[in-house]
Amino acid sequence: MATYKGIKGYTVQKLSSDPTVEDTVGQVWYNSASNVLKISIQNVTPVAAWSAGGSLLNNKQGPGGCGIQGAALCAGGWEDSQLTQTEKYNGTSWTEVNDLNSANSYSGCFGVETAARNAMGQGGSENESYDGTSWSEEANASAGRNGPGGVGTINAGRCYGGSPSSVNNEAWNGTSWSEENNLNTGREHIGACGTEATALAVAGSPPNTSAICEEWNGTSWCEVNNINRGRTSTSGSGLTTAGIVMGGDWNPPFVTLADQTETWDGTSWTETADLTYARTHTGSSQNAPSTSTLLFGGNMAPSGSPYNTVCEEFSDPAYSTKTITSS
Amino acid sequence: MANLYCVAVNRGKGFITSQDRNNFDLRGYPGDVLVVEDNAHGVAWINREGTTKTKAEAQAITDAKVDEYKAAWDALTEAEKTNAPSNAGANILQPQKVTLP
Repeated sequence: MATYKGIKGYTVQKLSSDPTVEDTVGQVWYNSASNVLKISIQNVTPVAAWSAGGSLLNNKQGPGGCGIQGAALCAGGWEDSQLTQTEKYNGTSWTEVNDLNSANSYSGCFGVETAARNAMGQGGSENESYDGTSWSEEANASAGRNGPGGVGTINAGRCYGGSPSSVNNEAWNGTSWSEENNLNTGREHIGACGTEATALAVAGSPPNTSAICEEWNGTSWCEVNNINRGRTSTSGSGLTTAGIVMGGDWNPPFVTLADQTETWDGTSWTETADLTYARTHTGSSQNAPSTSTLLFGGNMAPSGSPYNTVCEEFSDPAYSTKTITSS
Repeated sequence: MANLYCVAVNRGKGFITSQDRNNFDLRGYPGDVLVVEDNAHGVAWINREGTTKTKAEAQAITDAKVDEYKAAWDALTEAEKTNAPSNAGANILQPQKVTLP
């Protein structure tokens, strides 16, 4: 009978914990802590799924969101009025940290948990930076716009669109804002993916069924393939080569909440795993990759006020660790 | 696809795992109602996290919660409704009844 050692040239290793999956594809080991045989594999078919994350401390819709899945920031938002609250996520739970200086919601928020920017929104032309501890006011944008797309880092960012149906596109260079070439179609409550250099403006309103998608190539906005489910008030993250948008709503004749998640491969949009809780006006870990992002807060019955604390984590890993069973 | 109905309060991390989502479908609705795919994994998840309801019971719970939302919305002034950032632009729409699948 063929043995593992005969085929591989060595025996199965006994390990007290699983090794890093990316570095061990095709390898088998015995996990002595759980007494099972395991293997690392590369996923051929998508295994994308949303799971429950730690709930926000406070109900809110329309918060600014940035960071990555395991280290995210939730800035401001709306709960019957604009909020200054800021919460940080550590991959398990949220902690309240120092407030924004000015209440804001539906802002453009980008960067990482330790170096972020929250700009424009219902708060007007406000622009605040976060150093991991506290927020500081910096040079205001040229005009206040509600629900712009926002991408980039603390010192290289971009905000585009926003109400009322704006085509404006402004870049932040660490010191000031400068106007650059406009969007082709003015929109607000845009889903955003990308960086200051290359970005996507996905869907948005009006109309509240818009499926338009435009790509910023560093110089101008170009129309690219539409999203499959036209909607407004989505959240996004990822890059122009691998982006994701999730949630939102479309109407009339009545408000329909979206549980749809769509991923962008640089050319077209594909539907992937649905949210557990369909909702709109959410925040997201804006700077997370499309394979591992976070969606939090939002509204489950607009136009009313059932703001929520729900947080969901999206995972579509390229590799997995599997337990080997006799079946 | 046959469905099961339950009430389960989202307790955060671990409430629904990626493995759960790969094993069965589920959707959340107002009133902490969840509609769960009827298979062995879905049944086990309800036993772990929730309380089983009939479809009619689950629908009544969701209806009552949406009625709460409607009442809160109706109590707002026209100005408050207009200025609410979640309104549907020019179409000011009240929260809608949800029909469970």
